[in-house]
Amino acid sequence: MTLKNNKFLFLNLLFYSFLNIILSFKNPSLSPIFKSIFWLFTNFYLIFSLQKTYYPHLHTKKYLIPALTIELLSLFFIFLLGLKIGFTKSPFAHDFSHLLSNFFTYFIPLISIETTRYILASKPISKSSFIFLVIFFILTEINYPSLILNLSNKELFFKYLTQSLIPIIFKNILFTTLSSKISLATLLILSSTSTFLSLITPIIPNLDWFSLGTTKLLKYFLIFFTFKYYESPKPTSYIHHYPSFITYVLSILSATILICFMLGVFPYKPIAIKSNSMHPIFNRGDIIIYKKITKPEDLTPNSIIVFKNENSLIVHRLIKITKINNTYEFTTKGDNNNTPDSQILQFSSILGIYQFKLKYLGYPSIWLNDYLKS
Amino acid sequence: MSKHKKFFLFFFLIIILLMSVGYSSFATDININGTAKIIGSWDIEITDIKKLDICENCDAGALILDDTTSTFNTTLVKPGDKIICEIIITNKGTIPAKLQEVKNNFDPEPSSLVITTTDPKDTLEPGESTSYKITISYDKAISTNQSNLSKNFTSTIEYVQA
Repeated sequence: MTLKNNKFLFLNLLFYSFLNIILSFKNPSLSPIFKSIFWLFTNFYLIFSLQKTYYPHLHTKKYLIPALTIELLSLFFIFLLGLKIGFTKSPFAHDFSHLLSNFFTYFIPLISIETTRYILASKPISKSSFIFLVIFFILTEINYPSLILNLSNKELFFKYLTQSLIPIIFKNILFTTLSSKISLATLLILSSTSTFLSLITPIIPNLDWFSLGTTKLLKYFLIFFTFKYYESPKPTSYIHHYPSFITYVLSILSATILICFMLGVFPYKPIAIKSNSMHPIFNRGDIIIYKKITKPEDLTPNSIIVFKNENSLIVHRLIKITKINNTYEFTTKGDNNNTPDSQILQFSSILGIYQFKLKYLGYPSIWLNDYLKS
Repeated sequence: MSKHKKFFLFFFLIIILLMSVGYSSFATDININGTAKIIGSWDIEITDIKKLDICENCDAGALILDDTTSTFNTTLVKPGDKIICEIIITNKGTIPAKLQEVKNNFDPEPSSLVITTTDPKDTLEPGESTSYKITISYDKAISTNQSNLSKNFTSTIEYVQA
């Protein structure tokens, strides 16, 4: 089956894309029902019209175990992050009627979309068909009202890009490519396990936009490289094979460590310096690493601390600690400022103590921050 | 390692690095919203507060405390004074939401102020916005000579899946 020789299917997919966008705005409550019915219909049409067609990888079990391992590893990592970042109540209700309706609204379309992708891309297809399918599935997955809301300013759009758009693009390129190599069961495991779990579990990790986007990307790249290694012929000499394997493992590991570091999973966390209030200790454009603290006794006068002030983080020197009835109050001042900060701090607003700086490495963050806020 | 794999590996690391740079650029802005989940996202937010009517010499410092909580520092001068604010809520997620409760709290609870609120829309579809009005008034029946009434007032909305 190719899109070229099936005009009905081609037009059907185009019609869906168009109607999906219109309904997302005009009648959002009807949109999920339309999606479910459309995908079920497309699935039945494809299965019945192609029942005699041979799919070379439909029953292959070659990639099943690695797929399951990656899926479990990915879920383990996300829930491990949850232990550090915190959990939140699932937005999905769990009484029987809601479970059933969520299953119909979110799970059925997902299964049907992946089955359709599998049927259309399981045999070698032309480059143009591949590009059409990837674009079609990307457009299918985008939530248009959310996209429009996030286009209202640059900061929101950057978050949306990281959290949703980039992972959606990578996912669809990867899954469409994999459809010609793996079994349908493997594809469904990779695409729907996390969705299924999020529908039935009462609590889920409270991940922010960065952790959501990067954990998805990590998973997709883990799949890509694992499957690439699986399909490559067994090396005749491991001496030649090891270096590339080590590069791959080190890359994934360093990306994971970087993500954890940025999220504050470790006791140390980075922050880019925007102002010169602490000149000459550190300047605009430096990155400082601070150590998180748990009790007020860790703080001593003259130490440099990181603290919250309304919607921003500030790094200033602690000049005075006052203890009144077992409650601590902290006074701070920037070394380059003439007067102490007006706000007296409570311990709850102090995040950590400055440890060391990395000169100039913060400039990309500062430039991006300036651009996003301009 | 083939050129193909090397390219993807390099590309992957660059993307993760760029996302990290972006994330750290927000480190100076800790008010990061967005609790979107693995699928359908849940993101109900107070997006704006409008001061519709403020009596002469009165004040209402309004602040969005978090996604669903707004706080007001109100100062009313004399009996009969009133402040009307409108709070705009938007469903930025992809899951329809149903209003469960609007909680209004004064700290401390004053006896001389009267609070009335209108109800926001019961169900919010994805992308949809609604608003509710809060009227804080100095009780007209109070006749004793009191100084300015300055109180903190907090309003929290609770939505659940529709």
